[in-house]
Amino acid sequence: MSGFANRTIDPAFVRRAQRGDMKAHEIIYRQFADPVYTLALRMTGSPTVADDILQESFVEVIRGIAKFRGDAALATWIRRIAVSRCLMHMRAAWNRRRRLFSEIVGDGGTFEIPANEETPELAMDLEAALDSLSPTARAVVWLHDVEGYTHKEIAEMMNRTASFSKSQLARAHKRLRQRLAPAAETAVAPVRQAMTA
Amino acid sequence: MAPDRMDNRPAEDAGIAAALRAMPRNSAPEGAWRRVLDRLEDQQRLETRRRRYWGGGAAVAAGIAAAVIGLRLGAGFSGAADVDAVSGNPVPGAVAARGASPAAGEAGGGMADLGQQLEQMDMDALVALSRFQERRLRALPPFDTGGAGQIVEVGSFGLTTELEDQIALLDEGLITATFDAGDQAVPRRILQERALLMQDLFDMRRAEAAQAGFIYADF
Repeated sequence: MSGFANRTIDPAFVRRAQRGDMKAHEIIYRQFADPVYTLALRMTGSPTVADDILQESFVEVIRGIAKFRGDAALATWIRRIAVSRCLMHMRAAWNRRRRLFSEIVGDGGTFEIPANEETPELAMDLEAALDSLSPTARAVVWLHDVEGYTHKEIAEMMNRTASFSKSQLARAHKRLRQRLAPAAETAVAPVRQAMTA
Repeated sequence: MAPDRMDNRPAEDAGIAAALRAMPRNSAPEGAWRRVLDRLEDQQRLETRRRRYWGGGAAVAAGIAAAVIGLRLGAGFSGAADVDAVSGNPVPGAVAARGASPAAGEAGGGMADLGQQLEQMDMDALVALSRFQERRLRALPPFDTGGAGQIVEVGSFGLTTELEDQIALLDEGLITATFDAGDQAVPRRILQERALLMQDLFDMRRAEAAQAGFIYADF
């Protein structure tokens, strides 16, 4: 969980931040930096990029908080900014890779980062399984399963259809099941052996 | 797949979701707040420069770049004649005669179409298109990131400013290339790239203006 849900802040700090009080901004940052960083790290898979998105997001928070009307919780608003930043990064990076891929393979279609067959031990790791997904699939699975966005909301954010989001999620789940199954089997095997001995 | 395996899927998917939600939270890197402040300061400095360059929404310096092209190309340059002085639109016949469709740069044609058209345009047509794009951009409601009543929407601000920065950089390169280059290949390529960025910028600004509730003419 990124941790946005259980983070609240005194509305007085928000009002102070809206008036340009940088101390209040720092308090907001301290409260939400970890959830924003976690979200960015899970969606992009890169600590460097996540750090960059963290900074970009809070620059945007500082610049945009005067327009925050409080219709939604501050956490929801900040999370939306962070997600938007992640998707912007992903679109640019994904497009670059897609173009490169198309040039090499001559195929304009989608691609998925292949599973690393040489390091099967990584399959035990959920994080590695997540990393094995394409950037789009990873973003969809995280936004849906962890952040609780609906397919409609994800589709709007990604400028795609709800069906696209659903199919990405189904494929991502299938791939995660495949990646995690051997790890789960390895984990329960000693227990089975002990029980049958 | 066996039916019982298939039946287990929703439960397995729920298990995956639960496992993802249980992943540990990460701590933001040390010193990130300081870097946020530095970045904010950089952006504000950049915006001061950008406002000077763009003149609050109009591509002022870009016009200078196009004028430089005109001076350097000398004989044969007739870019000015391609743009209607009142409307700012390219004169269809003149531009189309050199390879540019009158619809070049219009929304709806798609960036791929525009890219193909740009490949076929000669320098005069490219300069004419550049001027048309600048005038069309100026015709949008004013965009001032530092002032009250700003149109900027969270999420699009970064992209708009990046586009403006890239165009400003290209214009610097355009002026240098125009004075340095013996042939027109480099300035032509820069103008083509610039036209694509200007189209992106126009689309972005128009979307922002629409979101802010401005009613605008059929650009």
